[in-house]
Amino acid sequence: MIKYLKNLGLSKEDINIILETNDNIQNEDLGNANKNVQTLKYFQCDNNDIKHIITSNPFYLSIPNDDILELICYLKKIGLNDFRILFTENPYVLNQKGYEMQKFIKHMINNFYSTQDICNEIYQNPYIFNEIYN
Amino acid sequence: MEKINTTNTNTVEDLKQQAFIALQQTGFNQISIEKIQKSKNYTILVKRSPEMVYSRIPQNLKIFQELGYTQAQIIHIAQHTPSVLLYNKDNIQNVFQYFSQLGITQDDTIKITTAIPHFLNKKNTEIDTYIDNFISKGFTKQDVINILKRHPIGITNTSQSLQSKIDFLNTLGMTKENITNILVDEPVLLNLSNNFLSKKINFLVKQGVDVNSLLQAPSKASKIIILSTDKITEKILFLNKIGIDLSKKDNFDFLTQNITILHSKYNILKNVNKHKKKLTPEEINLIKGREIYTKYGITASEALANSPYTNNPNETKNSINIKEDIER
Repeated sequence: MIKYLKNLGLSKEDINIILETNDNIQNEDLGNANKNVQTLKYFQCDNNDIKHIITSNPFYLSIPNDDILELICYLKKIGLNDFRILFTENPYVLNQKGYEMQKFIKHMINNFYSTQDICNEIYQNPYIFNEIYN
Repeated sequence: MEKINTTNTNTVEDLKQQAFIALQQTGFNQISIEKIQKSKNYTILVKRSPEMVYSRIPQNLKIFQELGYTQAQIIHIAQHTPSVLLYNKDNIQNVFQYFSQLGITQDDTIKITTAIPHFLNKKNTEIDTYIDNFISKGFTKQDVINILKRHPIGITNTSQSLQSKIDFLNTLGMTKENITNILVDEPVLLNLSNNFLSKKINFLVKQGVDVNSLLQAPSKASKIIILSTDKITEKILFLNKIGIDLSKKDNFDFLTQNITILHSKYNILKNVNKHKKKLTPEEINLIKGREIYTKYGITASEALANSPYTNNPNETKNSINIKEDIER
């Protein structure tokens, strides 16, 4: 895993931060971690974005890839399409589960937001999920 | 997901065969099965009581399915903590029941135990110990439940590490209430070392941010501190360039906003004020809100499409491989 992180261009200091925060990362499945990185690349995240997301959210590589894809599916359903903007602005949104996103969308719709409004709100304030959650 | 057959058999060899079939039916590949077999607890228990090990594997896989774990989640927790396949089913069910009594939904319990699989073997009193650790430091029970749901690993902080974090934030001049608020608002801070946080704070000071005031606004501070220094630098450079003074606390809102959106809104202002050499502070202030779109008759998507921050590099070979998964 350490070698994989180095190959992603992370510095020794970046890797230390990750290990300090998520010491279990060394035991994670490399195949899953790589799928998570490729998911970011698919959404146009460049190497710097990926470094930023992983160092800001060292738990990202530990999330089952299917959970991330499910989360993205819910966001795509409401018409959100620029995931690079969302993920780089709030890397912790990636730790949310599909059912949490579904709950958030339902909450917004119950408050008379259209799906377009919800997308605009998310772009405007990438932390809106945390605010609703608390 | 395919349902697992758990027909009773008599011989150890039959049970073993049945356990492997159950693992394969759940989607475990050869490598992940070998990883489980090589794990410490598994090897010890197989020597001691093979019947128990082989009969619990299909039984627990079935329970996980019934509780609502997805196939990927089951594989993930078993890879992470192979012993989950050997836990007593009563303990697993008890954890779900106890979390339910605490007001935690089944979905949230799955999220929590996917992040911390060994929680599936905890007794109520052990879970209470984690909760009481936080309550003894001034958190409410609801605060702890929120932390557990948002960032499960945060709850595993020891009494000393939690106290050390509180002491550190206290040295920065934060009140007890603000410390609780910032940790509940962004529980990942519980897992960031004081050394790392200290470096981040010093970095913000060097960038001219009024950190003392920022820390008095926990919900804003938490969102900035978790970002990488590169991202913060990118934001600050842009905000400085357009004349936002970050030593003023009224301007902290700019720091928590999406830089791409800020930039796209700034472009709207520049385009409609071409004749002006410099925009007024009132005009600049417009980029904080959404009114700018209606004021100038431009949609957010149109503004975004013209932002230089929206890049579009070519898709890599590997990213195309997962395209089908994403588009399903």
